Parts: sequence; structure tokens; C-alpha cells
Amino acid sequence: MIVRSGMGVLVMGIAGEQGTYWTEKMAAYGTRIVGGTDSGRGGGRHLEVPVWASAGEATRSESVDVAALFVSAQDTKAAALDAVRAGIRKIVCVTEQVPVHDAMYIIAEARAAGAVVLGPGSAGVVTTSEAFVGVMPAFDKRVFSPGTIGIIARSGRHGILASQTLVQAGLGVSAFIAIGSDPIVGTTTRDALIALDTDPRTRAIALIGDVGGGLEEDTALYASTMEKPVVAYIDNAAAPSRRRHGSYAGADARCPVETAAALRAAGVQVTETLADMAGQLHSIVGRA
Amino acid sequence: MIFVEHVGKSLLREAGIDVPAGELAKAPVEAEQAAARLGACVVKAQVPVGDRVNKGGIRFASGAAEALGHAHALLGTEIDGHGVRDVLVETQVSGVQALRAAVVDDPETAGPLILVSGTGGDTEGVTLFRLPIDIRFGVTADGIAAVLPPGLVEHPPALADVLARLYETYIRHDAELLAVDPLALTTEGRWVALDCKLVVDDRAAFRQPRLAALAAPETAVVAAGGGA
Repeated sequence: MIVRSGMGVLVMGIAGEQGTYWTEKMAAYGTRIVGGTDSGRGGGRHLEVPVWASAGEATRSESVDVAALFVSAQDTKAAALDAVRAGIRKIVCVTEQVPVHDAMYIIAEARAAGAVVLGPGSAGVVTTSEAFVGVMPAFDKRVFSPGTIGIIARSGRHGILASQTLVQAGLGVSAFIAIGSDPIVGTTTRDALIALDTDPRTRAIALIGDVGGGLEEDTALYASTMEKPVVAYIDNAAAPSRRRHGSYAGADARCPVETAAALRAAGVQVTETLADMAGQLHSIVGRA
Repeated sequence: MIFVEHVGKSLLREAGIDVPAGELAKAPVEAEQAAARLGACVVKAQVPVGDRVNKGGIRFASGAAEALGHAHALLGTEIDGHGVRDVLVETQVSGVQALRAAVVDDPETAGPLILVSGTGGDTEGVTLFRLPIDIRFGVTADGIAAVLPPGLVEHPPALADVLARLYETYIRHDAELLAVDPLALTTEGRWVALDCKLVVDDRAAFRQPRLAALAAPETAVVAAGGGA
């Protein structure tokens, strides 16, 4: 999922501490915040935008492209279903620790409605110098500088490190997608790869493979069909924490070595440090 | 949260899935008394560890004296870093067919997945049946019976019934993994869960207070990072 500058964003849970803080940051960056929800307390204004009791109410008076969820883990399912049923087609779920069965329910409902979910547990999405939705320091020029590299990572932390390394190497970032570190996520690495492959501003893709999901073959298969170059950094120190007990035939996560092998076989350059990744991308696209 | 066998089996029993008659013993003498009531039995260390048979954690006893010896040998020891604080003494069950059944969170479909695989012989570890479920609608025994592969079992509705109950248990308790290995068909034509592996989503602990209090200590877990 990529969020462009003109898209209208509804912040669900806008009155909370995180919702308030990040709404200010998003709006200042250029993200078009059309308003927010605060369950049970619609009608007023917060940070100079209208507040509704639900996404359903919001979409009756405003056109909403993206719902950004800043509600608690326990309230996430209800908020996400509210957004999907209100006709919102992009759901960015920042909230971490959402029960996995709730995440599965949200994703199933979204898919049936033709909506896309990023997360749960996603740090969000950045379209450099256009808009960002989530909890990323898009506004920090040392981290995000405009350019032609699209970045995919599970966690925001890895995304920041990768972006910072690219910017220090004289490269710039077209878009960043955090798919989220939760075991079940609505947008997989493969989905994010497709989004960046079709993004005209992106010329090459940095894939930060902090492991997990068991979907490496899918990702590799798609990567092998792409014209845009993909350079991956696989963090060997990262292990799939989620499957420590849950490992079961037919639903296993892969280890980093297997991930790297699958990607190499698909023609993806795999590097062992972020600096090497930046070097490879540099030789591909030159200075931004 | 991970659970030892007897906790998982208590949930299966509540869901109407057959489990062998058994008693939990914290001392060798309790195991001896249980075996005296049950007859030929199995003494099973209650640790959240896979492959307990080959690690010596599951021992067969023909009667009370042997069960006493096994319980004595197991209680107070450690298996893969987990202390054996109790043993489950269960009546022996002989099966005419054995399968592995599980319901798991499947990252690929982003939904629940029912899996049946084989044990022993040509089908050892082979996935024989794989059914992704739309969590919004769940699944019924009839629904499963209609899609079980022909020839998998002689009487599909009985297996479908167990799988539907397994799915309901997985849903009700926010499981990440609920596996029965082996699931044995007795000579009387009933499917019996001879073991149970249960992992419940830590994120759902707030709405699973009863289970949160019963989780096994994760002393032997080796997990390096990952995540945010």
C-alpha cells in the first residue's frame, strides 16, 4: 500500500496520546487529515479537524481513502471492521499486540470488501516528501530524503536503519512500507513488493528481511518476475520469535539462511550488511 | 502461552472430544494408586516438550508397581530444561488407525488452517488434508465431511466431527496451535486424542484469564529477537 499526497486520512483514536502526537506530525508533513474518531465522543473538534463517533459517521460527511488505527489492541477489531464497513479501502493498523484471531478476522473482512490492511503492528507507510501514515520519523531529513529507492521492512526500526544508511550513502527514498512484525499481517512482503513495483517513482527496491511469515517463496517468486532490481538485506541475527512453540508441519517459518537462499535463487542480490546493500543500490541507480 | 498435555486435554474434553481416562499425579504413590484403578497405563511427564517418547518422558506400565517405578524415575527430573512436577497416568488405548490433526494460524492465507497428516508407514508426516477456514464463518462437521478426501478414513463424519470440535476449541481459546498427535481410532470406532499440544496467543491473554493462570513456565525457551 502506498499513500499519496491527496488522499484523505481518518485517524481512528485521534484523541489518544499516540493519536494526537502522530496526527500533528502527519498533518505537518503534508498528509491530508480529514478528521478522526473517538469512540462515543463524536461531534467536537481535535487538532482543528472534526471528530466523529465512528468511521461510518465520518464517511457520511467526508471522503476517506485511508483509516489510520491508533486505538488500543482490544478495540482494534471493532475499529477496523467499522472502517471496512464504512467503505474505506486502505486500513493502516499501527496498534501492536492485537490478538491474532482478531487480525485474521479483520483481514478476511477487508479482503471480502476489496480493502487492504497494512499491519497490525505496522509502523506505517511513508511516501517521501508527500505523505506519511503511521509512526515513522518521515519528517527527519537524515532518515528520509526523497529519491528512487523503495524500502520494505517488517519493523519501523529496521526501516529507519535502512533508510538512514541509504541517505548517508547519497541515495534517496521514494517510499517505505512497514509490513509489521505480527505473525499474521494483511500486507505481506510480496504485496508490498507489488506496490513498489507498480510505483512510478520507485526505480529499485531494498528488502529488509528480518525474517518470518513463511512466505519467502511467494516473495521470491514475484521478485523473479520483476524488471526493477531488488536488493535484500537479511539479518542473520533475527530469528522468528513467533514460531518458537507453534512450529508445525505445513505452517513453518523459515530461518534466515533459507530466506536468503530462496531470494538468491530468484535473482535477488542478498547482502549481509546494510552498507553493502546501499553500495549495491548505489551502483544500480547512481546518486539520487 | 504454551500448555502441558493435561491442560490441553481438559479443553478437548470440554469440547466433547474423547481423551483416555487419566489422573494427574504429583507424587509416585499417587501414580501408583491411579494405575491400580486404571490397569495397563501410560505414565506421561507433563512438560511442554515435543517428542517426549524418545526423550524418555512417556513410559508404558502394565500395572501399579511399574507405574510407581516410572513416576519415581520421572518426577523431579528435567526434560529439555523443563522440570517434571507432575505426571499424567492414562489408560492405554490401542488404535486401528492413527492420524495427526491440528488447527493452526496460517500466515499464507492469513486465517485458520485445519491440517491432517499421516503417522507411520508411507504417510508418515505427509499432509493428507488441508482446509483453510474463513474465520468469520467458521466451519461445521458437515462442511468438513463434505471435503475430506475419499479413502482417508472409513467413516468420514466421525473424523469431521472431531475436527470441527478441534476448530471450535482453537477459536474459543485464541489458540495459535492446537494439535492432536496422535489421534487414534479405537476398535470401537471412536477417535481418541492421545496427546495434545496447545499454544495460545499471548496477545489474547487479557480475554483468556483462566488459561493465562495455567500456562507452563517457558524456562527452556530460546528466542533471539525478531519483531519490532
